[in-house]
Amino acid sequence: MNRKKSEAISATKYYKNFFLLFSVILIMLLFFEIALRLAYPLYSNYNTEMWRYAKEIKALSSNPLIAHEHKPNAVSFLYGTEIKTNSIGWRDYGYDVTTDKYRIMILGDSITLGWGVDFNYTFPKILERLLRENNPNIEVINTGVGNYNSEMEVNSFLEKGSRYNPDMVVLAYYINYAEITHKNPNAIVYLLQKSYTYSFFSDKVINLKINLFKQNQFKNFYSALYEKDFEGRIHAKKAIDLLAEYAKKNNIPLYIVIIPEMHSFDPYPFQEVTDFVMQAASKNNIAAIDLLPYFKGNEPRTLWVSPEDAHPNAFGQIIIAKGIYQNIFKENPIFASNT
Amino acid sequence: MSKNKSLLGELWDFMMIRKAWWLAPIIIMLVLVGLLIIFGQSSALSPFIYALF
Repeated sequence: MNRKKSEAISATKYYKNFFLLFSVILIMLLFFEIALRLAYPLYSNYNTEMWRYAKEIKALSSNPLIAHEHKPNAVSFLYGTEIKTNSIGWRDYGYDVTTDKYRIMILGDSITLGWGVDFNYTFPKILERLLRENNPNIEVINTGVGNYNSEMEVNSFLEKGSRYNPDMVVLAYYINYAEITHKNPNAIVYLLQKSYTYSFFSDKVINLKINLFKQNQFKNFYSALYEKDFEGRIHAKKAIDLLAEYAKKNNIPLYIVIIPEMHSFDPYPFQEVTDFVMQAASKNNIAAIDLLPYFKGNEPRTLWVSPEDAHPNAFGQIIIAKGIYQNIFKENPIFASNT
Repeated sequence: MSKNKSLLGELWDFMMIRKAWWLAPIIIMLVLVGLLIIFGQSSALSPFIYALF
């Protein structure tokens, strides 16, 4: 009888302790979440701001080949600048497609979007101003979405962009376009989008891997994307083929512009990536323009948005715009006339 | 408790004697966050990696 009684007491004690431990963990996480929300400006950085970008501007797409897209008419102040989307979900003006204008559509990722750069200093807008000096009837449309690869860009263009009747398409290719398209389950994304604790820890884990374990540093990370038979590389090539086929079928001029990786211009460690894109373009009879020569002579970090973030700043965006202008438009009489 | 014990040692003794196990997750979390803040600082060698999508 006594034994049974003492067993019951020890079981009650066990449950009591377990409940206490569970409550402490829960209360602690709650306090941690509140503290992180209050102290956000003190620790925000590139990773946490990219998380906030996903939380406030992006939404999951119903098309698994696009994975995610911008919400229409969204606005947020991110990484030192305002990012505002139009009714289509692009960081651009609202366009009236019924007007008779020459529309150049730029497909790209966070570089095209102008991450960390004011709207007027994104390269599509700089290019638009350059072209409008000679011809005010030109529109350069920025369809860039952060974390897009070429598969997502091309599928987003076919689903959305092509409806706006572009007269020319420019694919602004960056080295990470061979990444695999990830599809996250909705419920998990919903939770992760809300949690500052997740944002804080994921940032630290990403940096820990780079700093301590030397994993995911830009050289090995990007080189791995272009290993023979890597799925993302195959998808990137297929996406270029698909876009070229569409352009040919609809008689739309298509150009690929290769934006160099921003850590080292001379020597440039990713020439094989440039060659890969050049070959993919050449097989489809598309002109591909390598912008690396325009960046050479500059110290890479002077063109970064911040010391931790290699996205091109306003100077970098100007170089991209000028490179595109000189290669595609400068000698072309259509863009020099006032018609 | 001995006079020369470190803060962590004293904390450990306190937990053992008072059976205050509920303090363990708080201490573990504080140590973990401290280590992460020290070793998880942003790096210029980072590629474009996204925490969510």
